[in-house]
Amino acid sequence: MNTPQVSTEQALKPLALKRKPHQLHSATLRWWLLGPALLLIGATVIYPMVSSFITSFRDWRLINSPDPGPFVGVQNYARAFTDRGFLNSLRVSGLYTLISVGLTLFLGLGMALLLSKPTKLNTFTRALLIFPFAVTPVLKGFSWKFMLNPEYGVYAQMVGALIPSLKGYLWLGHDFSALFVIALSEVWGWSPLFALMFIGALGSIPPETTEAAKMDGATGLQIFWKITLPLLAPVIYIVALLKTISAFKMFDQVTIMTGGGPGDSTQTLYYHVYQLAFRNLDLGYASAVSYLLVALMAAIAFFYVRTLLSPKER
Amino acid sequence: MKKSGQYSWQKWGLAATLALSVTAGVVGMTGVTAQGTVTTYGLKAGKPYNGTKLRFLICCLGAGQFAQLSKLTGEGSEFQQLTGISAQWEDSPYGGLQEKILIEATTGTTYDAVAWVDAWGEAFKQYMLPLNDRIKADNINLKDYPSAYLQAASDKDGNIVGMPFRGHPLVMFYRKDVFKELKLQVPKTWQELIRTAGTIQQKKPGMTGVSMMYGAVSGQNLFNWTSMLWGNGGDILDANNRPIFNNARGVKATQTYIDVLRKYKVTSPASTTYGEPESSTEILQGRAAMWVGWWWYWARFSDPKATAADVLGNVGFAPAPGWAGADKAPKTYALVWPAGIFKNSKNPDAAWEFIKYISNTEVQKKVASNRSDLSVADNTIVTFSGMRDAKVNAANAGIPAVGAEVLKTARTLPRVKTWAEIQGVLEVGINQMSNGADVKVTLDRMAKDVDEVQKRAGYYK
Repeated sequence: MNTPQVSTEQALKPLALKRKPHQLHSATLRWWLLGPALLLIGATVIYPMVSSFITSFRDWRLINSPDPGPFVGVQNYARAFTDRGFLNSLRVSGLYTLISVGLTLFLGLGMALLLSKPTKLNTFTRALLIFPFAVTPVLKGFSWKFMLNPEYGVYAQMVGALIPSLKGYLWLGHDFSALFVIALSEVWGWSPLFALMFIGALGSIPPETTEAAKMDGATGLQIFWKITLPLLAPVIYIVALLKTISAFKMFDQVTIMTGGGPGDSTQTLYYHVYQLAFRNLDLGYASAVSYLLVALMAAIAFFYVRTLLSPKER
Repeated sequence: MKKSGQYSWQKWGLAATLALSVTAGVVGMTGVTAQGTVTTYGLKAGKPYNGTKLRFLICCLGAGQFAQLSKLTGEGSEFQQLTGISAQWEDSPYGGLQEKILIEATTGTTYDAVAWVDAWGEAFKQYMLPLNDRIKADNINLKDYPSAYLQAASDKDGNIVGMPFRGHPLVMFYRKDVFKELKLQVPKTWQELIRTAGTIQQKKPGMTGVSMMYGAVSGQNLFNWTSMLWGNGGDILDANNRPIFNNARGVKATQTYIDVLRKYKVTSPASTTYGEPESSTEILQGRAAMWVGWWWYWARFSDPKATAADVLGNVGFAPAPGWAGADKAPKTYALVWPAGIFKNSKNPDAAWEFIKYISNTEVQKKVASNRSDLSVADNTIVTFSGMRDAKVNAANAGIPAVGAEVLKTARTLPRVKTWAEIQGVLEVGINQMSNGADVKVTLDRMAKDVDEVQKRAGYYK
């Protein structure tokens, strides 16, 4: 039986012809599928962002008019740098970020090191770790406020029993302690999540590396400092970045636990922006401060990414 | 046959029981038995707005008066039977109500009517319908309302834009049993109150003399401060809306306010974080002997479920204290919730019928004297004739009549559109002073901040 001789090119031609309309169809389909999501993002993210950016250059106070006021150039941005409220909230947010990021990393890493060995108890404990993170910030705020009440709060009573000089101490009534316990309420939720991330990262460190170090006579502390910590660095950077951004966005617990007080000592940036926009109804200035916050976040993210990625990867 | 007759009787019996249960349920829900007529409430006859469904923007339906009134005006209510109109009360959270009202007033068309706390009103009164003509046409007697309430419900041109339908004078609550045991007189001035509180703390260890609130929570630390400030002849703003609370009278009143906590130590140290709920709980739970607060708490103090056993039946009340040596009657802080109609409302006439009903003295009397369900009992009433009504006073141990006396001279917060921002400055400053900041220095700084707020808003240059 003689079979007709055809070249590979000829053989593939009908297939290619068949695929072309299919490819076109796929591209159209792709846009159809993406369209609703893009529209939604455009309407709920892009449009408000552009609109608020334009508003940040206007004098628009809702108490004067429902319509946007005149353009005032960079006046709103300049005002922020002489506004004691803004400068105070910047300081408060900075301090809060330092406390909450530092403590979360420290406790998260500590828990991860304790729970990294795959025992039955550790596996069970790891499963429990996700629960604090699942608690909503508002609930965290109410619970902690209740638990820190000097008269009937369980935490306040426990601390008072352990350290008699702190019996009846007003945790939410003093500048630093109020900020510190707000940070603690957040650390309580985040450090178990970080522990889970670190446990995963610890599992990816080849055991041969640590075993070789042990055979060379390295102590546990030396192994931690010289091997474990450097190998965990990329994960630490990523979680620290996430936590830093989250810390600058602190709002819920401040509202619930202190209302920004005592005085204005726990007025974080987000809380301050909220007050400007929804209490003072100063939309132009509130938009400008929001964009200053965005710029700050972008700078932090840029710094982290530069530090995280090697020059070659960059 | 006999059997069938027996079933018939059983059916009738069951039907009667069900009908009685439903009636009892409805009565129990509203607690109201007497049915009024359109004439009783000054409503339009003939149901000209039959079928209209109103949306009423408000908060806090947990408040007894609101809970009762919402049932009296909702689906199947007395109000609907009389007018054909039903009102849906939108229970917005208190914390976000002010913003929601402003957004609705400027751009919305969702709601017909709204109620607000008087001090918020200046920012959106221009978007509310003036009610003067309607009030005149319906012969509503405005003299029956405290002047402070009417002023707070009017715009800068004197147009009434809201009818007062919930309002509070400040009264002093005290433990009758403690006062009797220690043979104490009820204090009439803040200075006497401080001395009395000191005596109580000395003789009743474990009990604080007076419960206060210094926390920066929704302006609640201004309640007693303004009473002291006004009592001493001071003020927050002058006639040109410039801050004057840092003058000599202001400093003296503020120093006294802070001294209650820091010098005389006759209140809980935790009051630096307290708002109204925490400070009222101190007396509700028997930890404090006195508290100066809104009169509606009386309903709570007389509710066995809300009050400690040794406190129940032992709480007395008197007008809020004045200032020692003041030549005039005490001017204490009064708060009012006016109810008005948005200019954007599609049903302004039906909304007016609704507002007339909820602010009507007969309706208010019915609500204030209803103590069939203590969880929604509320002594609040806005007209003088209602406050002096024998039945209302009998149901509430006479506190409405005391409120009427206080309201003769009480006043409300300044009516400036910048009030929310000013309140923010004041509440933070007061909280800082309660935590040890110098009174004069802090008041001067606060005045400077308020001055900037007023200049920015264009009140002066």
